[in-house]
Amino acid sequence: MLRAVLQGKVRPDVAKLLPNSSWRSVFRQVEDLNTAAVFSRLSYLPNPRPWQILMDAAHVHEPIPRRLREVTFWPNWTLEKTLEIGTRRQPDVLLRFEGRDIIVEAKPGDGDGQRPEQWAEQYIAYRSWQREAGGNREVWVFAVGGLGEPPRVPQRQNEARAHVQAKGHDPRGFTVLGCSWLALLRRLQEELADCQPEGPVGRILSDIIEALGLHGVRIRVWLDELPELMSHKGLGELPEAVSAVFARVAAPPKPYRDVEHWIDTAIAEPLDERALSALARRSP
Amino acid sequence: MRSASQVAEALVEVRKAFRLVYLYQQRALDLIQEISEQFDTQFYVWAPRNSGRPSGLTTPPWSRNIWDLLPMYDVSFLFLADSAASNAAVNSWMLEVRVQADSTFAPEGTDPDPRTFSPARDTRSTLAMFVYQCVEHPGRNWYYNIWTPITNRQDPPQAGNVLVAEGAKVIGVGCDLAEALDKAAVTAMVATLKQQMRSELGLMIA
Repeated sequence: MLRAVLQGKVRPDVAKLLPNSSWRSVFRQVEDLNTAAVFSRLSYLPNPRPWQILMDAAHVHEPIPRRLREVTFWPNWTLEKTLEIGTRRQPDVLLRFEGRDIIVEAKPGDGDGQRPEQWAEQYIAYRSWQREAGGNREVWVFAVGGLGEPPRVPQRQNEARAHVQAKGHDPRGFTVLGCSWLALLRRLQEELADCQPEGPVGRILSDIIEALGLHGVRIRVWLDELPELMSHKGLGELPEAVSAVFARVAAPPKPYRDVEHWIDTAIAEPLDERALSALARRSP
Repeated sequence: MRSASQVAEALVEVRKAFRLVYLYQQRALDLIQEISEQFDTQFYVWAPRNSGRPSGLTTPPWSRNIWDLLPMYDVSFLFLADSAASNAAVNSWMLEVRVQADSTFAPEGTDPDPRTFSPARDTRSTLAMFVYQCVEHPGRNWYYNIWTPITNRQDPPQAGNVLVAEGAKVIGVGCDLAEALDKAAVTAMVATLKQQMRSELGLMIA
């Protein structure tokens, strides 16, 4: 959100807010907020995690992990003026890794929103910007979302290369990687499973996963799990220790203060495994 | 008169039932979204089939039917191929996904007592998908002028048949909800309906 605000990406949407508007709803509707939430947090992760997460999500095997040096949201580049199209191009994020830049183009959902011509123009604009700055770094385009299901990257890369060539540029070395939001989510969840969830890395990963969830990116669940869930202890009988606590609440022993504490605890906490264990420990 | 401990036992079942309903609804909504995505459609409206929608902020729920608080008991979701067009154009189409947790609902009375329903083991949970294609009278609202009168007055079309009503052709497929257990099963069912869309309605859909 901070990045989106700093870059002036939220103003028109926020202006539409009414007194009862929900920020949750606004966040869901504004794709730039999702992009900023995901990629700014990704950049907070210690190196080389950002690189590894992106490469793994795109199923690209890169033996050399690269360190992230710089992140720019919505960089504004100029296309060469000879092209008969608008001259400004603004991809979502530029991730500057050691020895390689990555232009991120994000599209909402996992439908078909990505356009190879847009990647081609962003690549040409990046090259133009690099030439002016006297640089000649390797660059890849990384498309997130909007690639269809399953993501169709190689075919679209060929289309994008044809656009680069058609606009009078050398398409050699122009590479497009990509992944669905769901693939990125899966990779983040694997990463979370491998780290301390309460540690700084775990908190950043959880935050990204929640941001994705707010935009409807989550692992879909199916009815075939229902029979197994029915035998889950949350749906089965209460453990004996907890039943005993409730029995005491029904016929409260003294001192009452303890009973009140049990009742407050029982009401305040969901009866998940942790709460049940805590209740069991408190029973005298 | 029952004792407090007996009531407490009953309330254990209520808590279990709420948790199970949560898990069921989570899966039912995912199923519906999956179908919508496979048809590349956008959400339009939703409608509980045997009740109203849950009451709003300032309406006391007890002034309405109890069933209004259980909208997912039997519910339809409507999706449009062109999300901007809530008024039908000739040859445009709309998808309905209906999920019935329980096929029994006593039509008599406004708020039927579930104790009068057939035993749960004798009833069914179902999934149905329908495609409505506008064939005449363009400009009519999909929800108010096409879907609502058709579903109020007509039985759903049988598998393989085409219902013609309210200026629209309607086709559909259905199954026991238990058969729509995973993505592969849902994809196969969607493929069947897409095939019918091509053959019966002449709609070119990928």
